[in-house]
Amino acid sequence: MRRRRPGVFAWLPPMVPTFLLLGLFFIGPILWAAYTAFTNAALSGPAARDPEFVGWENFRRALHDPNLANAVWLTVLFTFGSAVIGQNCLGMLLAVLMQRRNQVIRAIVGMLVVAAWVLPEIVAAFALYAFLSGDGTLNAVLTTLGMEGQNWLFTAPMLAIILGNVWRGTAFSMLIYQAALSDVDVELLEAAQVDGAGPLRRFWHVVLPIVRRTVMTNLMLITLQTIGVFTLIYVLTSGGPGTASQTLPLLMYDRAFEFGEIAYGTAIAFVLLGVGALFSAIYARALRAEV
Amino acid sequence: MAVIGGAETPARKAKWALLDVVVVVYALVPVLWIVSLSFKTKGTITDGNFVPREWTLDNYQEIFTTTEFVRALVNSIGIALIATLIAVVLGTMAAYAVARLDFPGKRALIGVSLLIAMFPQVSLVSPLFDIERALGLFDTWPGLILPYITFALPLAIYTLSAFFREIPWELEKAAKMDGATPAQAFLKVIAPLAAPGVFTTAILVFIFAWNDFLFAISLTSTERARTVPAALSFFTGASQFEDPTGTISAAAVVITIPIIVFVLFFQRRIVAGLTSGAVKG
Repeated sequence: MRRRRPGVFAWLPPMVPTFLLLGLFFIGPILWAAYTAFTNAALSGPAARDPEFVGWENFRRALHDPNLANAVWLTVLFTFGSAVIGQNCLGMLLAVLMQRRNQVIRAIVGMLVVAAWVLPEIVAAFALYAFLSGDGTLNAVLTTLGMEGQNWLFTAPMLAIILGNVWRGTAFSMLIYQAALSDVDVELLEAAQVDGAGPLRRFWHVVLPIVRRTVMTNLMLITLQTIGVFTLIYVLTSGGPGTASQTLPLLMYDRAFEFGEIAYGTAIAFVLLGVGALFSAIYARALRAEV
Repeated sequence: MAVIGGAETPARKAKWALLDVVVVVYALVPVLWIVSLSFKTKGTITDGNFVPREWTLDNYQEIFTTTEFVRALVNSIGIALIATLIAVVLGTMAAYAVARLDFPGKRALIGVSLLIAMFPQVSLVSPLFDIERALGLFDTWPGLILPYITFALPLAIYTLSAFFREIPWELEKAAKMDGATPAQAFLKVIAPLAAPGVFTTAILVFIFAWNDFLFAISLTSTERARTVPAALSFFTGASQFEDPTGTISAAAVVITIPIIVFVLFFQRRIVAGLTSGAVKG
């Protein structure tokens, strides 16, 4: 039996406020960015009052900007290191290890991990800053162990922000994988065990094929989240020292708000937008393929 | 239960216990460190001791006597509550339409809302800055509330429509047949069933608005609308040369308390809501 389709007056009115807001604060900024990126808009100076159309100038400049190439590379490194490798693998490992623990421990660990994850980003970033900086906890521990401390944020900025993002984001992957693992049929694993498969082989040949789709989905989600990470890096290193940890969001913010070159910053935002849209499209396709 | 089985021996138990400790320490140490910093005196703040040698409430006293922090706290509470309220009302309306009515482009709408929820917001900051200045919204409460609602709505609609689909709507018809008015049917039958979903969504939206730093730092310029996460980065201490670490820590602890309370009481709901998109695939 097919229900009659309701008229436009039934479904549209409740959607109107949502469409309006999305139009003004989501579609609007995207269109505005598309326009601004082709002007010389600035925060101050003559261009601030009367921005001129400059065609592809900002993008031409971006193409030859060594900082942009550096930022793209660092963004890829950051995303790959902290999301694809770090959060994803560690999340899966924790999910597998937590499976056989009793309820109480699962509950306690679950709560801690979730707490670390919904912590305000600025607090998490500041906590990591206090942990990794010159007089931080890490150095205090190292000194007790008889080792030389150092300012990690200065000597190993990329490592610091990658570890920071792994710490912050692993909970998400862990929770997703915990839910997926509980769907794995125990009998299948027991059968594999009877056939002589060790833990690693059981994971690789039995568990992984079953949760593969979840892994793909999770990878896309955390990739998108990680590409846009700003607060963590801004607080930990501000993209420095120099440009040693200046990923795309940091470069964009730096150009647009510190240098006041709104137009060029927007052009960089567009590069980021392009990367995000690319991943979004892949993700949407993956989702559609699953239905 | 266990994916990878095996007998429990004392040695194995010890290994597992060690693992638990490692995970807990890993998750907790950086957070406990700022709690510790917030209770340290100015003289001992850089001593590197995990437990404060001298406990003090000075840092807390200091932040609550500065307008800088108190004003930011008022902004934070007001902005997050208003954004949550409006987003939940609008989200409920839209999700109701999505869950109960069959209209063209509905599936695409759900897909697009997920895309928006995952969109790198940082790439929209500079155009939003321009637009808000043009509209006179820059550095005002609505200037933060409206973007928060906008970026929370897609996830709210997604979560809510998932909840609403589970509601047995025939009950509404049954209640009407038994003589209830439409309003009664909604209030007595449907509302109690929908409440948990709405509540979960409200928590998620509140956490999002409360935690945000990116919009708060780029769409405000004075104390007028600056929320605590943004205000934190302007803390300088009582004098220019004083290390603000203690007061920042205290402020960080204060804004974390509501989040911790939410996690303690509603952990399951938060997890279910936030991971629903990915788990359902």
